[in-house]
Amino acid sequence: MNSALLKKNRKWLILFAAPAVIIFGIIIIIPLFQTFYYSTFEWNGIKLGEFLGTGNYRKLFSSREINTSLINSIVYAVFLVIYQVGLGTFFAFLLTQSKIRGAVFFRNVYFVPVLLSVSVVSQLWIWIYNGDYGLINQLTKLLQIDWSQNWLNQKWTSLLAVAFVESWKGMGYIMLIIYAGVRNIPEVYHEAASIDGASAVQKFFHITVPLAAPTIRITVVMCLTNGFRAFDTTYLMTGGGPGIYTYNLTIMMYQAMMGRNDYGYGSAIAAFIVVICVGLMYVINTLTKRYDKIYD
Amino acid sequence: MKKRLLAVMMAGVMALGTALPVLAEEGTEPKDPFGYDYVSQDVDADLTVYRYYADSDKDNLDYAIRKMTEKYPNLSFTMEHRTDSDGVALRTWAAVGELPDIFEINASDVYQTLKEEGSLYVVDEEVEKTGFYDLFSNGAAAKEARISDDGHQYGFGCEVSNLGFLWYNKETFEELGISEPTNYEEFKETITVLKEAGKVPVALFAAEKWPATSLYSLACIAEGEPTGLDAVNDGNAAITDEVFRKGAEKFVEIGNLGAFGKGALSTNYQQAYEMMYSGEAGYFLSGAWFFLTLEADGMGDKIDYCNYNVFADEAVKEDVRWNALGGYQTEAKYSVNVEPPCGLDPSTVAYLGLEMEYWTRVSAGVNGNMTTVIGDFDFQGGEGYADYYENYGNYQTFSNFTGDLSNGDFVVAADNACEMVVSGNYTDAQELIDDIAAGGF
Repeated sequence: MNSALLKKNRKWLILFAAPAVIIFGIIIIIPLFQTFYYSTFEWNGIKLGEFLGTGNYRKLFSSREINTSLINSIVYAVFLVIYQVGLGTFFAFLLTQSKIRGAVFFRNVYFVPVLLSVSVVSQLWIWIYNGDYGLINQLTKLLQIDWSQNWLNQKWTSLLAVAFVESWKGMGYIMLIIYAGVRNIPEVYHEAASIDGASAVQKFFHITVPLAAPTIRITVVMCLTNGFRAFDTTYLMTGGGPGIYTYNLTIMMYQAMMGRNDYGYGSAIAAFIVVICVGLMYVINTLTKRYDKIYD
Repeated sequence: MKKRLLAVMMAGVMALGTALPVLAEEGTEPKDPFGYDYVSQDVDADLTVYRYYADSDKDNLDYAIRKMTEKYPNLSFTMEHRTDSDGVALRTWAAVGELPDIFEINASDVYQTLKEEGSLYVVDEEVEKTGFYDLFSNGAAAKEARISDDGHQYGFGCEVSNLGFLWYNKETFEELGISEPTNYEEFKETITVLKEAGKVPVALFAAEKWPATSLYSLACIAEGEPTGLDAVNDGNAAITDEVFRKGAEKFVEIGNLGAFGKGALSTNYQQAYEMMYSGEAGYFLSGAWFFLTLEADGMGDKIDYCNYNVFADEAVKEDVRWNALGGYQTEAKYSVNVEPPCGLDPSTVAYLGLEMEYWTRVSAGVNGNMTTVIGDFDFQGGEGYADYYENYGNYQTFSNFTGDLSNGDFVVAADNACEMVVSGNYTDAQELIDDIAAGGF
């Protein structure tokens, strides 16, 4: 929109944008500032106590759980990106190929887990992973392979098992976003490449991926930030345990507030999560800025 | 006209149907000890009550509501069911100034905060005038528990807390040729036999964290600390003390024997009970409230609890027998908002609250916490319950279920460390001790 047109319609633009901005301000911006404010106090959830300044943040960075939680959050987020964006891009590409029969069926199948409630999915996988009666261990027994694992009770298997469930559940959603991006790539590029003799793999890496990059970038940001604020699946499947093996920043926040009744400390953890997520978004956007005007 | 008559008849049948079990059980309608001495018949308000309002408690409360709305025609109740066990809902209401008229406080820290904030009405006078606690078999103990350190009562409730036990399936034990253990060596033997028979020896519903930690607390009680982990929670002892180390050794030892199922950390209460009920598991840790389930399922004679602390050595088992896991009383129970939103004065709300509690207990009869209205009916809880009823007065010390401990930092540290034992990640007692000690305990 050129500046003259913008100037002419300024009043209307403000009018139409105002409701969204006001709602966003009330339910996001104000609570966000409140969180930062409360994080500087001793607070039991009812009565605001002593002003601590950076006390809660110092407590956070010297806590026993912070290293494990940060590492777990990073592993979790990276796992989500690899699984959801990696497989999502691959499946999105396959589904756009005219040679694939039943593409609509597969697209729906991949999307089904997205529609399921997180509690249902968690309970389902808890039983699949169960060390005594779980499906995976029973299958290994059936195949007479001595490979029975205590999936949710061991250090790395518990974290990866939960990350897998979250990835499995959300992959269809990410795939659909990428699918929409891939479908928007003008067909002429693929046709030209085909005439030049490019293989499917070459077309995927040299046309689809670069041209769908803005969409993929959005999904990467979504997966990374989802990874850092993941809570429900982990809480339902392991509660952060055993011990602190599957702790992450949100579980830490929950324990601080609900377990220790230390809402000020919990607010500091929440503020830290916000900073990480916004920071990640900024870094990724800066690094991938060159893909913004790919069709210009 | 016909439809109206039919509706009235149906309502009558439904009301009679819900009232009959109570009336049939008690034989005669219990007397109303309150009369109109404290609250006028014309009292006009909608009372909002926040408390556990499900399962058998719902039936009992519905009975109380019916009795009171018959007595006070202009009184109505809005029941808010308590779904949490950590006081989150109450804390949120308190933060925004929307506490109900009467509320159940189930977290000691919330109670302390509300008390300090002046949000709780002092019910001393109402309790005294009505002689509320004289109406109950355990009234003296219940009253004593409700008196705060400043001498006032900020809530009321005739219940005393349940005790915690290790329950076992008698049929499973008979099949395997084992019997109820009375000391630690026997307990270990039963674990081995159960394990070899392909069963999960101890079904812990460790998806809730407290059962695992409470089991460790039970081991500490057996080693001579009468209040178990309460002592560390209260700052009266350190986890590195000998008694807690020895308790840890036993707790870890049964873990190493394979006492806990691989899925223990994902097992909930119902699943753990089903495991024992079906014979897939041998033991089940729960509180005396479990008698209610046994009565409802007709399992009172098939399931019993271990009379002795199973972690106690033979030489000291009698010494520690009456040191209970659980049973500790907190001041908090049901409190009255100092500024009731229903518009009545808090004293009237307190009288109504006391009356409601009385009728609830009339309906409930005797249960796991030994509360009964004096002169009322018996509870059919089976052989185990008969033992429990007989022995209840012998208990000398009580402790908290660890989920009810007041120091959140300690609870989180202990829960996390005990999870590591149950999941098989800690096989040495020192790891458990070091982990909790690292939290500054």
